[in-house]
Amino acid sequence: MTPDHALNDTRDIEPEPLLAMPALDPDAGAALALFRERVRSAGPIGTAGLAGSFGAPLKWAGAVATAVVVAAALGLTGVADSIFQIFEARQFTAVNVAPGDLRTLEQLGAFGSLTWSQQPAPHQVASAAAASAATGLAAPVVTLPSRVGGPAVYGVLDRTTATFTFDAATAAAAAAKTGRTAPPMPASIDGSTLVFTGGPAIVMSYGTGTAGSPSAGVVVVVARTPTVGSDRASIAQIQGYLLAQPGISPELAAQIKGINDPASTLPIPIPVGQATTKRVTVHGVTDGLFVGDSTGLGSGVIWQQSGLVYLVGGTLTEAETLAVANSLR
Amino acid sequence: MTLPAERARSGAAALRGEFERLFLAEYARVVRIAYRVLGERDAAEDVAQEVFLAFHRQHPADAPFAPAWLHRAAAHTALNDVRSRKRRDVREAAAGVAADPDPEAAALEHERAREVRAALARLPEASAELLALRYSGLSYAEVAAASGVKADQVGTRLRRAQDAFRREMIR
Repeated sequence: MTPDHALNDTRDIEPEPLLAMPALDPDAGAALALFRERVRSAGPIGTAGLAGSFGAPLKWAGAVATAVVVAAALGLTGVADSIFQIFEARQFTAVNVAPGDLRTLEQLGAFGSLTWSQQPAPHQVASAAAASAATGLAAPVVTLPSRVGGPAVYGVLDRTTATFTFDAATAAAAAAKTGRTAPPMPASIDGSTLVFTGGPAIVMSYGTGTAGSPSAGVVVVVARTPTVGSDRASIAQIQGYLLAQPGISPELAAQIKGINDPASTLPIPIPVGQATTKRVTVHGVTDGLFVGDSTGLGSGVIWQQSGLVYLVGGTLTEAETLAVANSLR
Repeated sequence: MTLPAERARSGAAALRGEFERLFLAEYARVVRIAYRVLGERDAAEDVAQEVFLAFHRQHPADAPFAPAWLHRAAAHTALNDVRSRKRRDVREAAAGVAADPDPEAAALEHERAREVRAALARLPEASAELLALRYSGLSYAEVAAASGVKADQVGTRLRRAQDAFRREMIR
């Protein structure tokens, strides 16, 4: 811009003409047709989207919730005696992931075979008492901001088991299909079995809003702490192998390797630029992880206490989210 | 009562009725709010699609707060978008100016539009939101409903937001 047109003093500035916009009359009918197509192609929201169903403004609070909900849906039933625990989620840390990292992480299932004792299937119950009876967990009592309306909806997830068995031949075939050359799977990992454990969980959601006021949706999750068992491979061996995959960025690998206690720290993937994170204290627990959606419309906090993982998220401000989290009793 | 996921799954039926009425009634206003922030029609319509999709997944179409929710979400989503695309602005500026028959005037206009967007992006969220809502054409009552500001406070808050906007424009 030339100096003649520079704005040097607030007296030079009239907000009205600067902020006024030319008339715009978009074609709502055409937009609706496009919207129908988007909904159709997206398909129904699956059970894993229980918390994610709060939509885009809450996508990262939802992602955190989904991670916990899925983990909590796993159980220990049927675990062989040879399985030893290599991981228990006692704390959480954010790791920034690039789009390429996400695509690679989504493909990790191609390294072997996954078997569920039963698929995670959240189902609704009528009351807090019913949720407690179904899970053996105490349904927390929550104090919500006044702008969060509507009654609580209670969902529960039963204990389930997922067993993953690494297979070098499957991994090599998957890599060949995408034109990649993956590092050879170490003998210590090939054929070894992981058992993901956790659950049960209670999911409480609120958010029908009140007339005349902006709505707010809130989800509260309490889950038995998820664990991972292994029959052979150590967590360091598995981590080393997975982080050597060609699609994993050096930045992500460095973050994972930098985790002080990988046997008890669950990394929460945060796409770069999508959310901010920080440590917060909740109920005296000093290593709660707060995640704020960068739109400013949503936030969430996750922490572990007395063998249980708690998550509070919603279309709330940071202060509201922490107030709700600290209100749990 | 239904779980949110179950409610979302039954959304196809709602689309044919109440939701379509809501979409047709509010689409233009949602686009205009995003347009006020972004200054680009296509980007504003993308934001509107995103906002309606989020609402569709989260809320019943007949929720009494639906318009206010949509308006506020449009402002937030657009502000977030403008904060994350500084590099794109540079590329678009070069392309747009080169194609215009009066490149100097176009460059000036583009630069001013970019400054307005940047100033909005630097403002506190509540102030930027108020300006986006009001200058997209919403009434004081609609601004109040969307922002959560009391109706009799909207004028005062808007003046403060305008003052903050002036200060940001000379930064």
